[in-house]
Amino acid sequence: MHPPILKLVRVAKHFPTREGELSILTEVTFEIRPGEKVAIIGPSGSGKSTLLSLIGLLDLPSSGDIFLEGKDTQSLDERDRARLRNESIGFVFQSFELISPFTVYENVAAPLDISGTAFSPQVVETLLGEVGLTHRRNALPSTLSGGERQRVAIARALAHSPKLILADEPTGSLDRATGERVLELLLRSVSERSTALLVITHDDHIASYMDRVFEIRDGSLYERT
Amino acid sequence: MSALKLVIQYATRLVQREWRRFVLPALSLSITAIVLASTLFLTSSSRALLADQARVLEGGDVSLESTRPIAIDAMLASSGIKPVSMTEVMEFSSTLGSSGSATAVSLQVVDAAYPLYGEIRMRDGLYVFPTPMQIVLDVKASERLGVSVGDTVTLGDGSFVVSGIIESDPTSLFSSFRFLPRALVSHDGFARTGIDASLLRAEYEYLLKVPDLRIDQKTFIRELETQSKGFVQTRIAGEGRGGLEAGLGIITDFLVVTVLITAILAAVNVYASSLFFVTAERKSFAILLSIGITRLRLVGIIALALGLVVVGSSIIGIGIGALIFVGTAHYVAGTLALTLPDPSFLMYGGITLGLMVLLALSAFVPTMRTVLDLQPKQLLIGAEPDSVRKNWIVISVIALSTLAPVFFLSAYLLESWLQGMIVVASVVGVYAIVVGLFSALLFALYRIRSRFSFAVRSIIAHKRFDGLFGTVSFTSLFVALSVLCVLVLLQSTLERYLTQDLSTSVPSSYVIDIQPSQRDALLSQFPEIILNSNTPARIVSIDGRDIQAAIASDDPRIDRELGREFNLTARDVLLSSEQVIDGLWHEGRRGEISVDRDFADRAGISLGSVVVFSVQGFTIEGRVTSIRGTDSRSGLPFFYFVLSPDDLKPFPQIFFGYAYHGADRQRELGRFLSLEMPNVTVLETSAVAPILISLTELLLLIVFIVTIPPLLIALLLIITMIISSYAQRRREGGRLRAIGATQRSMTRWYVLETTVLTVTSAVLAYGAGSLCTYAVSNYFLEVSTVVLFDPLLGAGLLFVIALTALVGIVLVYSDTMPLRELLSHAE
Repeated sequence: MHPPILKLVRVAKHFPTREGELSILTEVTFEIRPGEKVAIIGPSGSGKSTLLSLIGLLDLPSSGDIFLEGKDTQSLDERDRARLRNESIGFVFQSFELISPFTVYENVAAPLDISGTAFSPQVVETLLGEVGLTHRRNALPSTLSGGERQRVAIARALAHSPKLILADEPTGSLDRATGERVLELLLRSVSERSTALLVITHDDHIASYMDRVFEIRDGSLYERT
Repeated sequence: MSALKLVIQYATRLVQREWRRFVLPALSLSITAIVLASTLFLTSSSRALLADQARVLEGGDVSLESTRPIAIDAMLASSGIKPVSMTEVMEFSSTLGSSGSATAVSLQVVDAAYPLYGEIRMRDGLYVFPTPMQIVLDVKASERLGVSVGDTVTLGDGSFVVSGIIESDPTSLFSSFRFLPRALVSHDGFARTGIDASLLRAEYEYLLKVPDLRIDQKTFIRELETQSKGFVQTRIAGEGRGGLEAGLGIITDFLVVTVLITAILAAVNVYASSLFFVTAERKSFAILLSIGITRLRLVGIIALALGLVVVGSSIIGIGIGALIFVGTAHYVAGTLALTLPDPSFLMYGGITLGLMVLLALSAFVPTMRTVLDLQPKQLLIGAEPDSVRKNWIVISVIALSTLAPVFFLSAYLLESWLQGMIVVASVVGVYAIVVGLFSALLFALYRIRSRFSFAVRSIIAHKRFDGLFGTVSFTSLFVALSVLCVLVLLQSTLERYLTQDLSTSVPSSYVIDIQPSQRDALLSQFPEIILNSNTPARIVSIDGRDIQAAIASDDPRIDRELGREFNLTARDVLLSSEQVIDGLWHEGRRGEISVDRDFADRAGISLGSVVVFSVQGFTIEGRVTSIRGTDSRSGLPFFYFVLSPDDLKPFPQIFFGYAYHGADRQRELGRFLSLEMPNVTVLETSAVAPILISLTELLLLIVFIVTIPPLLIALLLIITMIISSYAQRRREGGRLRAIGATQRSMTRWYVLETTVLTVTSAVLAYGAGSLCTYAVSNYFLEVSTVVLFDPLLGAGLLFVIALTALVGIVLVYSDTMPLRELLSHAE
């Protein structure tokens, strides 16, 4: 069996408020293996997005350990965390988070550019072909439809061949039909690359496509069986 | 809920709940109002003070001079000018006698209204208008005649009792060269002398007290000169361009320029603040639109919210501005013993408030366009509007609407719609050029961006995407830095003019009435004295036209001034105050004449003209071989005609000299003249030094005080633009960091971008600032020596560049919002 690509051990997150500390996550422990597709579901405010931020190294846990590709991320400084994000994680956000001034091509190439390693433009062109946006390669995000933007986001998330894709409500801003097409594309893309996928959603329908489903409740994670 | 109630409720709620969003615009608006109000208060007060000074120096608000009496009432009747009071002064050279001696004096025949402004200071007691039996002498006249109060002197057929000795009078400092001692008699007293005024070479001066002269009346007075073909010379107080009065005029003009610059900055600042607010609140507005509020009501809500902020901030700013003025006036009174007159706080406070509201309204036009362009769906799903498209109409609307209030202010301050239009057109022109250059450069860089590193490519793409906001930011930065350059360079130019050009060119002593027999003896002891010969002559003909006959026949083509006696001088070198405009300097060649340019224009003399003079019945003929320009402010001798020394040698001459002496040498000269040449008069300009220094200090202080606020607002504007720019860029930074860019690299990119833009705009601004300073100094202030580099400016620009980099670093590092929050709540 392959070692886990992601491992969380007793991860907790609290936020200071005027009324005292607010516990969002109390003790989260779970792991994802390469190629595995996992969904975390839960109602609004349950801590899904907070958990995704911690896994994506966008925020630090209050306690506990997060291992990414076997590396303990707690000991990393900001620079190393950024590098690990760049190398190992691909993000697909609900609100796309495309870089507005960049063209479609530049958005997809951005993780490769940031990594500083030389790459062939063909890599980006291939990805654009996969998501069906070759004809829009020079367009700015503001001229794209919601579905097109999310396809760009998926291509960008795959560009540097990460081991883990984190998707936060990837179809949340799209209509049902477009959402279905985007989800299909995402699942197909990760399957072809054996990339692990962690989807945050409140939609059981999306969760049904995943290998494993976790439910977040009272700050803890429970696997649905 | 009615529409009005909804707008009021939402607007007040917006201000209450989102007050943090308003802090920057409110702070910026308050400071703008402080600067504008304090500048207007200071400017109006300083202008009033300088106008008072100018009136005193000139003797009246308006003065008309002629070589013949003028029917002044008839002349003014058609203009509607009704002087509060008026005085008529006749001045001519005459000889006063006493029991032991006689001396030439400049005799002024005055009436009881003289002087209209200022004060005649007497050696003992107060000045009292002389009765027909009395005469008032100045110190020199009393010394030369050896008389004091109560003694008798004779003038023509009359004898007069000396009723007082004048120590100084308002015009004594600034009346160019009054070589002769002075004496005052009344018109009735003059009638007792039996002197026929029609036979005199007298100057008639009419001084008018008209405190509130309208623009059309000023025009009427100026046109009197041309209408009378030079028969009447007119001057309006504060508009003179001679002597120290020029300094006062220049400072007044500078104040106007400073207020305009402040207003332009204020316009840009208000615009930037409004735009920042709307940008920051765009998502909230989109939500309001999405829940069904009409665009019109949204415009109303934002307008009311901004209006509340603008009015509140302006009132606070005006209050602080008034306090600053009071403090400054107190300081000036304490240090310079000068009372700055109170400006009309209500009027200038009102102007400031009106201007701020107008500026905000103007800034509101493009801001509203942004609101009306909001696409709720696009914004709510997190997408940005496409701001890359070029919309020159919008840029034009912004430029014109923002500058419209400035136009009204310029027209008001410059008292001319045309000049106001020229100022605003110049500003728009410069803006357009900079916007064009910036856009073209960005477009070119964007086209070739793939050749650059990711960081540079990213900066170029971001700048291009910033679109209108980026262009306005850069242009505003350019304007702010240009203002910095113009103000510093203008201040340096003025400082140099006031402390060096003016003071160094004015000699320390004038030596008057040197006889030919005394010339060599004086020069052997004081070779540094530069002597000018002086030979009285009348013009016989110019290019064959008999001048005296033409004047006698009232030929309207001939300027009557040509009929008077002129002082000819002879020398072979040009003075430092002179330059040849046309032709070649004669270098002492016989038969050649050099003529002053202005006089040549009036007299119809051109290069090659033949002028014939009469000197004591003998004629001298010469051809004009050069036309000279003369800086009349230099304090150096000024002659219309300069001939060859060989041509004038046969004729009787007296000499007039000047020198630059230290205190010891000055004393030596005084002792020598009093012992060896008692007929020679020495005038020491050092006697007026304390007043000159005090005046110069005042002028520099005013320049300094008035320059500081616009510089502060320029810096504030720069910081506002950087903060706004960062607010725009924050979410993009978060997105880049999410996919692997480090905080450090984001900082580096942002600082690099800010620094490159600041350096670029600083270079452009220095170029534009230098051009502007050159133009303003030459054509508006009329100061000949322009300072185009000042170490202080270099340091200032470096400071601004460092400041922008520092603000950039502080902004990025002080942004502690976690990446998670930045991505989810970035608006």
